Amino acid sequence: MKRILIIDDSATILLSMEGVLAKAGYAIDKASSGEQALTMLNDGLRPDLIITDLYMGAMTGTDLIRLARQVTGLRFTPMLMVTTESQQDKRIDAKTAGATGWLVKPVAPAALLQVVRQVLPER
Amino acid sequence: MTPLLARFLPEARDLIQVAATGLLNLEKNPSDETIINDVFRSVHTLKGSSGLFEVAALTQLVHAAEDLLGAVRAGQIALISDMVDMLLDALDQVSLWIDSLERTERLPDDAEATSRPLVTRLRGCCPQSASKAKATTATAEDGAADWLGLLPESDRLAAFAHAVSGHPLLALHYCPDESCFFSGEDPLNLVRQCPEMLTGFIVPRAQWEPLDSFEPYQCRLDFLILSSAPRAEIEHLFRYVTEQVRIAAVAPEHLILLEGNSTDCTVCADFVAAARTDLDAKDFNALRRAVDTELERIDSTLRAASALRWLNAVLGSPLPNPLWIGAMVEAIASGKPPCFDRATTEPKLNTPPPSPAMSPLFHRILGEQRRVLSLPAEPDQIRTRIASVVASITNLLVSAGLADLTETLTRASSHAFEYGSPTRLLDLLEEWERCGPTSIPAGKQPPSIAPASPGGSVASPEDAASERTTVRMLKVDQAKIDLLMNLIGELVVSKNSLPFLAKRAEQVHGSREMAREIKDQYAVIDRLAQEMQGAIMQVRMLPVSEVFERFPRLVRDLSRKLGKTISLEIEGEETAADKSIIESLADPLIHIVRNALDHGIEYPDERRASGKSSHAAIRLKAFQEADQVVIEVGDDGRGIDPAAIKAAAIAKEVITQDQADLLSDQDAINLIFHPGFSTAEQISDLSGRGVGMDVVHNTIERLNGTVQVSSILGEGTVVRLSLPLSMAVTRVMMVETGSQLFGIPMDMIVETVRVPVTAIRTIKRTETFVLRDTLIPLVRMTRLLNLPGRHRDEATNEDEAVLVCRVNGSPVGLVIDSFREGMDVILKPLDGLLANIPGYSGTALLGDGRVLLVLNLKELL
Repeated sequence: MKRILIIDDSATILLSMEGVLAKAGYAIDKASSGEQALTMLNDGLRPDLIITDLYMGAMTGTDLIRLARQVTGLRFTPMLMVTTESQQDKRIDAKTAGATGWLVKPVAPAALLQVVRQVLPER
Repeated sequence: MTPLLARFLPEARDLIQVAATGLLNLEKNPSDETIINDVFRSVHTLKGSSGLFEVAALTQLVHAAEDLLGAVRAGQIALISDMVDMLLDALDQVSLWIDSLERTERLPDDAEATSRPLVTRLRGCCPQSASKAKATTATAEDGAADWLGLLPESDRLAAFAHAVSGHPLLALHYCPDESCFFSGEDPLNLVRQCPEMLTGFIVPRAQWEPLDSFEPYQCRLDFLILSSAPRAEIEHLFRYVTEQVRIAAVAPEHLILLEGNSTDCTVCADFVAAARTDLDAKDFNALRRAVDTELERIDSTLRAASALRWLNAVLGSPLPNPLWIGAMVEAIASGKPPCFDRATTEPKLNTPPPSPAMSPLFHRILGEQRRVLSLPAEPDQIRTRIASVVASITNLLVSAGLADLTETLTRASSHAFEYGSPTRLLDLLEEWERCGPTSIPAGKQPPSIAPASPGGSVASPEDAASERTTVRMLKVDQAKIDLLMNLIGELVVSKNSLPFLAKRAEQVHGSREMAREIKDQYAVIDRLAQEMQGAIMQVRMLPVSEVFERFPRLVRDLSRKLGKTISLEIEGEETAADKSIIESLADPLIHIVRNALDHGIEYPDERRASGKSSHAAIRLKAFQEADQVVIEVGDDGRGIDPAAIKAAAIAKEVITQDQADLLSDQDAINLIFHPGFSTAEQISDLSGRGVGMDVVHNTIERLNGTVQVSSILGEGTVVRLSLPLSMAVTRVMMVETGSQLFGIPMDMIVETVRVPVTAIRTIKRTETFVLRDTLIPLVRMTRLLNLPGRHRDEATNEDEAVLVCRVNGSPVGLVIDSFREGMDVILKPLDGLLANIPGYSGTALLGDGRVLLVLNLKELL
């Protein structure tokens, strides 16, 4: 079972994304901040995909991706950033930091699954 | 209510609060990036979460606010106060809707109408179509793809056939970033998902480096793809890598590129002559036959042969284009590339596509793997190579939808492993290559580059950030805490019955031993109960910031309305006090601050005239002093003029001229607490509909607190509120009067004295006594409570027990029968029928089950 780590400071978003992804057969880990996520990763969590929000307190999603890329075993892991339509420039930052792609808020369940399937090959 | 909505509501409220607070700070520090980011993030998160519910009006409004904030954040526009007003209005509206969602789980019917003007106003501030232009893809589109010649002719012929049957073609050149694997990208996986791919081709970007300097984690391959999918679909698929993809429309004739050795043009002279005739006669069937014959005749590696094959393809299209045929014929005649007239595109036709071409790619990969396998190798290398080839072929089979063949492959490979010889495997591959499966969706595996599992050579992050842990908070329903508080109150009271029990054990049952044991146990239970009570009270403690946080907004709004420039300083907002105290503080504080804004602080002109800065300040300060929490509201305004107060009080007949003459300045200032007193020349809507400071006074007194006002004329006023940290436990002293027990709150009591009857003098019909040079009036408790007085023998010269209390700032002596012990009680207000009886703060339960009435001296005296 593929593991997906979701990071968002909104419990509402976490709950809804988990609902969609868990139903589609993914194992879900959640973190409510970049710091928490990084701790989990450093403690050995190795998700197959990371989906993070952009703005969530001290550590942004971009920071998280940059740091997570340096964690052993996550160099090639797909990482997605959740952004809004109005954050084109942030996407470029995110890409520079090592993001694989992005999702556009509000994330519709179908779009979420489609993107997850796109970056997470069924090998 | 769904759990999702239940989560959303408190979250939304928090976000609104954060955003509003941030906006106010931002107005003061417009260049502070942290604040704008915070505000933006809150609004942004709010928008994101709201999108999960059917609240379009709300989402639109928040979205508009977010866009405006985004523009501010990007430095496109400067934030001005009007925008802050607008944004705050929007947040207020959202707040109202959140309340509505909580009540009815939907927005009010007029939400859309309410939202629209707000959105329009917000949008009006946004710079025109900010950053919208960037939204389009950066794909280079001009001209045809220049790499079509790299595709083998057979692929191009197949694509041509597809294109001329009514399927517009797109050529994609995907050139993944060298370090793309380090972004979690998987170019191959991406390409595999390309819809309606006709052919795909992988080319190395440059000459391969020698093996020892080869860097396997760099992507050095380009992907060339022809697809007949709509452009939007392709662009969507490659949206994360737009800058790495070039998409170009391919007209069918672009595919017609001749290859092969150029030859003497005369080889086909006869054919050309015949073809021209057929073309003129539009006899395509004859021409087709002639092409077939000519192809049989000449060497297939010749350039002319290539041209003939293309001519054949053009003729084979559903509706052959005569211009193309002519161009092809001329190309054969001249030996030059065909020249197509741009103006003529082929007639469009909707016919079903011919069956997909055999997958040349599949064959090509098989061939390549076979070549790798048959290379000479050292015996120790051969097994590694077999494994690598088997892995590639397995992937190939899976991606081609031929997973069932992997079993055959496994058998062959295990044989090859066993004997260290790839012969059996080679045979299998050759067989597949020869009569391989047809209609394979293109899928391939680059021979040497497979996204490998990470090697772990990168150092683990050194950042301390990873060590940070998050504070875990638990949100608990208030009612649960209140219940706990009540329970611990009951426990404290019932615990108090143990000493009585011990006394009974000794006195009634004569067991001193038993009495001691009970007392020992009591000590333990007492300690635990007290600790528990302390802990629960801690849970109920809230920082005063809960109340303070509304003031930046209030001060800002009011000062703008009044045309005064006022800054608010807040200090000690982390000071904590019991929830009930904090909650009841809000209204009095608002009143005091409004008063200061409205009456205390002068208009800028007036301030300048008196030599002050036109910029006024209001200071909110909270701190803990012993077991009291003190809140001071200070302003640097005009101060309170005792003379003006006196004059106003006389005019309002609050006091007489004679009384006024006797008042000290401080007492005069205290007159503002007198009911109905207001010095403002006109009652404004700000300082509370003419209700004076007496409301504040009463509220604070009810909380067992005190209010003091000190003011220096021309320099400012400070209102100081002192409140107990917690109201949960009240310390009372029990007194006996008229043979009954009463409780008196300890904080009222100054001291207890015994006064000889002879020392009591009657002045103006009031009994008084002198305590350390202070004249203290005496009040007999029995008279106060209308209880039968104790019969006393005047001659005995007994001392009177006097409880000196401070009531409303002045001392008073209460004559009682006797003092009893002091104790902590949980004070329960009188309710039901008794609720309106004045003179009592409430009741407390004594350890032996009796009910103690606790007196409210302020009401009694």
